[in-house]
Order: sequence, then C-alpha cells, then structure tokens
Amino acid sequence: MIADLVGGVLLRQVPAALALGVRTGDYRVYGSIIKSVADGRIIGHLQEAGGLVGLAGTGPLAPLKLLADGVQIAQNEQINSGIQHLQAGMDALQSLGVANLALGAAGIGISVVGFAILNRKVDAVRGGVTALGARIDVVGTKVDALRRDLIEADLVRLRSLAEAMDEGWRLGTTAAERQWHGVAEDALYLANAFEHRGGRLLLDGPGALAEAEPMLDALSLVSSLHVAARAASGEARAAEAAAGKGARSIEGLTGGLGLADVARERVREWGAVPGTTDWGHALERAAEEARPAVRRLREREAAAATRGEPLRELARRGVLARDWMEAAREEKDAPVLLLPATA
Amino acid sequence: MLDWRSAALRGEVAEWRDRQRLAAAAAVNAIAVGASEALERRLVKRTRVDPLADLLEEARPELDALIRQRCQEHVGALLNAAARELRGIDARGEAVALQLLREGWPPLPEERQASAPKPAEPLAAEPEPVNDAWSAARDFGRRLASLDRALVTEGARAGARATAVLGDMVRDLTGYQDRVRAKGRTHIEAWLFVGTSDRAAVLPHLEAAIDAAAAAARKEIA
Repeated sequence: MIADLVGGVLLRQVPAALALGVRTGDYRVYGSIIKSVADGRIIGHLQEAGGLVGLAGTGPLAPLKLLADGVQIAQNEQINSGIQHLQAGMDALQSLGVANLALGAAGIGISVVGFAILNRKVDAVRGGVTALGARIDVVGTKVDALRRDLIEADLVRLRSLAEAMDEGWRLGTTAAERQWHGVAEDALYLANAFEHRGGRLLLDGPGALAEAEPMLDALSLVSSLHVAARAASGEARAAEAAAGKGARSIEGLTGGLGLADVARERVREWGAVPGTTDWGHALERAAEEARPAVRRLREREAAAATRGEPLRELARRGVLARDWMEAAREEKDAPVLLLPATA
Repeated sequence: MLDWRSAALRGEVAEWRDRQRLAAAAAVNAIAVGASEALERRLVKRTRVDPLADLLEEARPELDALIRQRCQEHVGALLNAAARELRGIDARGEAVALQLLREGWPPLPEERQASAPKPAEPLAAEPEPVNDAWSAARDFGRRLASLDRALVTEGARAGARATAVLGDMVRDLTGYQDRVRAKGRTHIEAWLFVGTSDRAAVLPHLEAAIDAAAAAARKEIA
C-alpha cells in the first residue's frame, strides 16, 4: 500500500516480501537501513510513522528496560484495548526485528512521532534513573555524585523540547522554524550533558553499564530530537552534521564495550573461582544475562549511525525533509514506513 | 558525515571481540579444570605422608605438559578461527589478523629436558593395589600394638596411644592433600589466569591480544 507520495518519492508500508527477506536472512536491518546481505546494497530506509503512537498510546509505556519483549507488549495492548490493528502494527515491527528500537529511546529514522510518545520515552528514561537510585546504596551514590537534581532538571528540559518540537508542527512556517531552531540549540546542550554523565558513569568500568543506560537512552533521545529539529527547519546539512555528532558520541561511549566485559565483571562480582566448573557455568550465565543490555548498546549505535541516511536520499531526490517528515507523521496505521533507496 | 557502513563494520568487530574473548575464557577454564582433575587423580592414590616427597613437585612436569599440550591445541584453534573471522568482516582486517596470529600466542610451560632433576613419577608406578589412608594407618597401628602386646599391663594404654597415632596420621594425610591441592591450584592459576611478575598468564594474554586486534581493526575501519 502506498502511504504517500512526497515530491515524487514513494513513502510506503514495508512490503511483505521485504519483511520475509529479513526473516530468511536475505536482507538485514541495521539501524534504520535495510540492506542486501549478498551485495551490501541499501534496499531502503525505515522511518518511524504516526501509527507508532497507537502502539504506545493506550497504556503506560513501560520503562525501556521492560521493553525487551515486544511480543508481550503487543499481547498486553491487544488484551487491554481490543484494537486489532495494534497487533498488525506490532507484527510489522516484529517482522523486521525493530520493535524494541522503534519503541525505545533511539527510535527509527528521524523522530517524527508526537509529544505523547516522546513524553512516554522521557518518562521511561526518568523511571530508569529513579529505579537505579533506589536499587542499592552504591548505585545511588554514583548517581547522586552526578547530582540527581540536575539530572531531573535536564529530563524536564528534554520533555519540554519534545513538546516544543511537536508544537512546531502546528505553527506557521516562520514561527515553526524559529521554534525548531530553539529546540536544536537546547538539544545540543543537553546531548553534551547526557554524554558527559554517561561517560562519567562508564569510567567505573563495565559493571556500571546498568547505571549508565538511562543516560545513554537520554543521549539517544535528545540526539534524535536535535536531528529532527534541524531537518524540519530546512537545515539539511546541519541535520546531517547533528546525526554524525550523535552517532560519534554514542559510539565513543559504548563502542569498545561488549558482552565479554560485562559478563567477566559480573562473574568477578559473584566471586566465582577461575579454573572451576562453577566459574565456567557462571560465565555462561552472566553472558546470557548481559546479552539484552549489550544488544541495546549495538542497537543504539546502529540507530544513531543511520539516522542521517534518509536525508541524503531525500537530497538526491530534491525532496524537502520537512515534507517527508510531515507525511510520515500523518500515517495513522503503519508504525514504520519505507523509503526505497535510489536504484 | 559518519559513514554508516564503517560504523556497521565496527559493530561487527565488537561482536567478534565478544565471541573470541568468551571462547578463550571458556577454553582456558576447561584446561584449568582438566589440570586440577589430573592432580586430584594423582593425589587420591597417595596413601602415606612422606615428608621427603613433594607430590606437587613430582606432578608438576605432568601438569605443565598437560597445560602446554591443551593450550597448544586450543589456543591454536582459537587464534586461527579468530583471524579467519576477522578477515571475513573486512579485508582491512588482514594485517591485524596476521598480527594476532603472530603475537597472540601466550607464554606456555617449557618442556622438561631429560636432565630434569626429578622426573615425574608415572601414574602406573603408584603402589598397587592402592591402600586407602585408613588401611595404611591401621597397619601402622597394628605394628605399634604388636610391640606392646607382651606388656599386658600396658595394653590398654598402648591401644589408646595407637588410636591417637592413627588419628594423627589420617589428619596428616588429609592436611597434606589439602596443602597439595592449594599449591596445585596456585600453580595452575599462575599459568592460566594470574601470571607472575615476569610472565603473563594465558587468559589475560589472549584477552589482551584480542582487545588489541579489535582496537586496531576498529581504527583501520574508521
């Protein structure tokens, strides 16, 4: 089904054949890009769309950590609301393996969904910070060292930016552009603040990943807003630069961190003795437990690295990013749309 | 503008590093478990405490040979697989893969020369049939008891003394086994996990080599 035609560019729901190709391994999703495994060619760009709001809009969006199982969310939503199309929307995300990414802080493509869902994402980040503080004294101390009150204040600012971004779509062109300029400037400051905090926490080593995750989510979210604000206000080059900066920040924090680091640290904390079968079992268990958090690291990096790619495609086709974003926002059913790549 | 293709390759290198490090840790731990079990097999056959014999010293060549042989098998396989996978991620990983093959080998126990001061006692040379600690102590007690048998009035006291000696011997043997186990564990840990002041242990060496290769590959791909 064709969702919209923007300046001659097809913006459509993801064809079933493409989703099937992802499942069979012919295609692979990396961030917001679908590429051919055989030759590495870009098949298309995934872009979050207005239909995503329905998936998270009928109930409280769980903290991001609880989003690990998208199927569960779909089932809960279906039971609670009885709305059949929610299942279809979640199926679309699931078939591409991007449910967690789409509903998480990083998002897919350029942020276009409204304040309702952005607000819930901010809530989820805030929930992560609060949960950490309450978990154990040591963690509380680490977070407190970064001034919990300042983190709270910055999360309020992040929420305000999301609201201002959304409000811009209801303003006239000049007022909207002015508004989005302001969003971009503030987003730049907040991105630096969250990057700094994430880096400080990760200085304690891989064992601090759980504490750093809310900061990484906040960084992803604000970087995504930064790109969206620049793109919507017609500053394509600045939007591309913002996307590059966001990607470098996130990879700089977590690119060198992996499953081996987190699992080894956890085994050490458990006090298992190397050279024993217990240690071997503990390592296996720790690796399994750490796998979801490490997968989130790689997903954040991938989402950030590909965020600016549709902008290049649109520029090649002479389409304004704002028009493209508006079309994606207006899609009410599909949670994600496809911009086929130029042949 | 960030090149997403390079970012994707760096992500693959990060996953490669995870796979190699976890595989190395599992393999080295299995080698350590095997070495501990070999020492234990030797230990349970020992039924008497001989103050002049050092079981760990006797077993050391055998342990070292086992560590050396298993490391040669497993480390070689690990490094080859790691290098092959790294090349598969990106052609720019070729030089890094070669360096990993060259420098990834950890220091291993040296082979004992024929002139070694005290060759390992072959397991087959252990006393057969194996007497357990209780029977050895019991024999000794009997001998003590027989010395006293003629002294009827001392009989009861002699029996008590013999029982005490027997208890001491069992305690000595158990304590001896624990001491050898502890020393053996330290020896194995030193080779495989901890290292010494002048030598890196196998696992930290492998992990450092894998980390260095991952960092170099990520830099090449940047």
